[in-house]
Amino acid sequence: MDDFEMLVETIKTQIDKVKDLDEVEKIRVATLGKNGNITSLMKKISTLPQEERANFGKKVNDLKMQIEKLLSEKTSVLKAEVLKSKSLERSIDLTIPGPLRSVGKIHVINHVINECVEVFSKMGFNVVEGPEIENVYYNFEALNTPQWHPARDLHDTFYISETLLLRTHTSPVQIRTMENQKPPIRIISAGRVYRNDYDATHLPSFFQMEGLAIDRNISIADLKGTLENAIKTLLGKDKIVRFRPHYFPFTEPSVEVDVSFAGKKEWLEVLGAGMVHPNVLRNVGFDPEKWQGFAFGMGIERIAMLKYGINDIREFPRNYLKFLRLF
Amino acid sequence: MKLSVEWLKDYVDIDGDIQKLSDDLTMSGSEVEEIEKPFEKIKGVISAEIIDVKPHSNADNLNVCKVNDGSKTYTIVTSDKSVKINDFVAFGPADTASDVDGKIVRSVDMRGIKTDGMLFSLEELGLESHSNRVFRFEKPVPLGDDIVKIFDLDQTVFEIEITPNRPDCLSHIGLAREVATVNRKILKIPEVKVDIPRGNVSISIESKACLRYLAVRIDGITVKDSPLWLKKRLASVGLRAINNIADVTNYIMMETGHPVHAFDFDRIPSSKIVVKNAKGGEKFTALNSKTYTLEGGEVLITDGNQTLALAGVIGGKDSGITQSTKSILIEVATFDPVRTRKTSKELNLSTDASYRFERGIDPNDTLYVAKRIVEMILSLSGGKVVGMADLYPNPIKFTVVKLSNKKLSSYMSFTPDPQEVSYIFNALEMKVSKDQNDWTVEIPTFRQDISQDVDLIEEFARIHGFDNVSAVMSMPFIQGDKNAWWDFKNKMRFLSTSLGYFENVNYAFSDPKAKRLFGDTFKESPELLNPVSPEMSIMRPSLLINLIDALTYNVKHQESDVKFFEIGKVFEENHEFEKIAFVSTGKIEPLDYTDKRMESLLNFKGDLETIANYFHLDLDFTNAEITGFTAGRCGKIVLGGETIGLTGELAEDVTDFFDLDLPIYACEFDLEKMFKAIQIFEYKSASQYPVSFKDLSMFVQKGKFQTSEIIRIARTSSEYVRDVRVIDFYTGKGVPPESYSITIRITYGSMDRTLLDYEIDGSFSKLMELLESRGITLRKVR
Repeated sequence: MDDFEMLVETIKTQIDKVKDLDEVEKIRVATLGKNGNITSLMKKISTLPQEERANFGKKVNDLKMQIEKLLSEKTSVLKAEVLKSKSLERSIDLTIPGPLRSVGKIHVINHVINECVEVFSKMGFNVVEGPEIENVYYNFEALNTPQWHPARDLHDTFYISETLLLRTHTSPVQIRTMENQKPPIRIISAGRVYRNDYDATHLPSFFQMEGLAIDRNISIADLKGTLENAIKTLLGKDKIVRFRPHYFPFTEPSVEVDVSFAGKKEWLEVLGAGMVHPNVLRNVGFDPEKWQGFAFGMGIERIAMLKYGINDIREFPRNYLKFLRLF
Repeated sequence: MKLSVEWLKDYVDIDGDIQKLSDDLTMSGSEVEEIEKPFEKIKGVISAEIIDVKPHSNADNLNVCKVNDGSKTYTIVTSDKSVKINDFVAFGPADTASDVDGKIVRSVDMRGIKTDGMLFSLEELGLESHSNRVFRFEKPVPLGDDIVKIFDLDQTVFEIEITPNRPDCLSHIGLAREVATVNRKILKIPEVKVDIPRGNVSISIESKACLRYLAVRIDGITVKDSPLWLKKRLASVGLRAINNIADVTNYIMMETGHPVHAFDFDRIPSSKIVVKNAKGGEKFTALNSKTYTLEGGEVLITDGNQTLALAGVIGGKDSGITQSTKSILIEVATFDPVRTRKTSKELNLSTDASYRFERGIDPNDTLYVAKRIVEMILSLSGGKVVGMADLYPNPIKFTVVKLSNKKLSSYMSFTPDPQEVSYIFNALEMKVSKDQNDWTVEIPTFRQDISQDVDLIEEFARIHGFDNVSAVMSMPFIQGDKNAWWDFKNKMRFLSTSLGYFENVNYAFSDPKAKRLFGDTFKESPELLNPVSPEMSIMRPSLLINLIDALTYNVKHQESDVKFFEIGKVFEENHEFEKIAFVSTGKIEPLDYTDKRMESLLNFKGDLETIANYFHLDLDFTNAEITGFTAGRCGKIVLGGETIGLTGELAEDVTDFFDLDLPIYACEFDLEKMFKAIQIFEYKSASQYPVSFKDLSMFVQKGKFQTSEIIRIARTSSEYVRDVRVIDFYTGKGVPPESYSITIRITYGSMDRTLLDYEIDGSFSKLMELLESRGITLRKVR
């Protein structure tokens, strides 16, 4: 091993020990700097005899290039290390939950009402509304339910006065609509109704949606088609729907509509419907020989309970955030 | 209505199983709500023989018996001292047998003797309302057999919802007619043969509400227990046996649907019947031992003087059948439905009889019913018919209803087979004939619900089956209209929820005590005549009361940050309209751990302004004193010069009432007025030229100036002002007491050019002068 090789070994050992870029720089200055030992060797070339210069020069140059390479390799290794440690410092743990904005929710009652409205709007039904404090006439008499009619037993009524009551169903909206509008008619009306009945399965006020279609030739088949389509859209295409004869004073024939969730094993009533009674049409001045149609009414809570599996009707008016957040 | 399937078989043949029968009834309009097994809880009771009877050594009133069930001997103790050796009894071994209510027989210590079971009476088997003695078979029976089998107690009963228009179906014969029609079977109505001679009974009708009155007198009867088959039938439909006379009246009602009544003839002082209206104020003691004071107008069955019964509702205590009754008067009558209903409602007394009379009973079946009951009484109680009277002042006849084939087809959406139509009407006992286009149908008087063509369409449809009508959508389509108000309310919902508020749907009833806390802040609202509770006795004059209540519920259930809103009707005298209300407490951003701000009045108000700005509306807020809110921290909401609502921090007495210890911010305004103020949006192009901003900080002395004035001054200070907004608000260190610091940013610009510096500076200087001349201390200018 000659002097040059020994020098390289020495410098190499030094560089290997280096831990940061400053020390690399120190070695660079000590070797390749103005007064560095390699630079000194370079300067020495001109002092050598002509015949030795070429050989010596080449060796010094090789030496210089070797050192430069070692230094630059070490520099990049150290730079990479620095970069690595800096990026960890700057890093963000993305598993930390982001601070959230609070967004509220629409109450499930209105959520379901909106869904029902959407289904019927697409079939051409218009949204109308009516008063909650009603005249006895609109709530009962006009709907073919005179005083002392046993059907009134089914409506435990809240009274404000002898002639004013809290509507027991949304059906008075039918009368108000037909008094103000000529057929053909397609309307729906969702809103609050009241019954004086308060226990674990009954609320003193709840929500219904009413529908009415009057035209020249509307049939029971139209009633079935419209309601079956609506129920399946709302509750699922796999549901089975049946139309069971029933009685309402303001429709004739009348039906209740049941839905089966468990393949015909259990039927759950979802709405009442029927062909509008001719007496009701006469009460608003429509000729039942010219106009006919169907009406229906459904319980919004009922639909919501079936749709979401809610088993306690008292959840709806409680307005507990743990419930409200679900929808 | 309870229908016994076994009983039904007397009148119609039934093919298929119970489920098919149930479906047939349900799908023709008589909905089977429940399929019951009334005796299913009786278990393990077996036939046995008494083989030994000895007096109890420690009790005079008890006997100790040995009972043999054919394989084992048991010891029992009984208080029925009539039990003798060789009696055949119904024995329930301890721990295995249970009675009709499911109560399990237990071994007990009876004065030192341990029992192995008990002897059953008919009461424990559900066949009698009260038994004095244990049951004994009349003849020897095989030992160890199941009582359920021996008595044939494996009965099926349907609980059926009969709609108010079908009183005819409140009977076994009526429902048998339905089953027969659906299944094309023959209806077998029991024949009656007895001939009841007229005379020897005196009736007069002085009430218009008595449509027909028939009375039969039978002498020489014996009141005793009914036979087991009769007890079983009544028990299965929920009626417990009393005695052979009362049981027969119940049986006839359940069979024919016509309520009948029996008087003890010897307890009718004048021996005659006078039907008349109550004058009012009379007192009447009924069979149920209760005394009723009459309002007047009720129909009474009297002997001319003394009241015997409340017609169609309940019999009198003093004229009823007793064990010693020898002579009876059977009443088969029809009373006006409305009058019966009024009486039943007034007295809050509903009976099986009133339930039927108020729905309408056919007076034309009277003679049949009378013969049927007389035959049964003669066979079960003995006796001899003395005579009868039958008053029917205005007989009713069948009606005729015409139905055009066109209308039937139009309703059904197909043309029905004429043979099917005539079969259905005939099976329902309507005589039908058809000419070219119309059906002419004679309606029997037991179907008073049928008066128009559509009623006949229903009869056809329900028997034909709604399932057999196609489901189509062939109505002409009508393009729906836009309902802007409805859409606006939904927009409000989306805006409010996006600001973090959860929608409430509360009751529309409120607590008047809570309302009083707000003084005259809310107007008087309608009161309910019959509320469910005092806390729900008025219609809400404001959404806030119930919203605060809901907020309270949540705070009490570990929800500390609550932001609620509600859209709904509020009520004033003769007026109802829709409002929106908001309440808020706790953190502004509860889910943002970098944001620790708590709700404040300004932030809360900012939410309202955000909503108004969305609709391009400017809400003005003016401080005002409002009852129910904290002084100085509340005010009115003004839109277009009109007050539409209020906002503020709730007063302490309000939060105390709800037992809350937190600042609650609340606001409410008239949603309909806001909707009406919304203008149709007009597009204006924006300026193409750059604008300049100037900021100005100042101290504002509370009570002397309002920020709204400063903004107004700034807005009108120059034609170049495009916008003025508050960009900072501060109180605390460095701000004089009773003052606050605000910074406003004024935007200067022009539609047609870039403003020059001197124009902006000139305008800005002018504004500063204006403000200083009003005494406002300017702080910083940029």
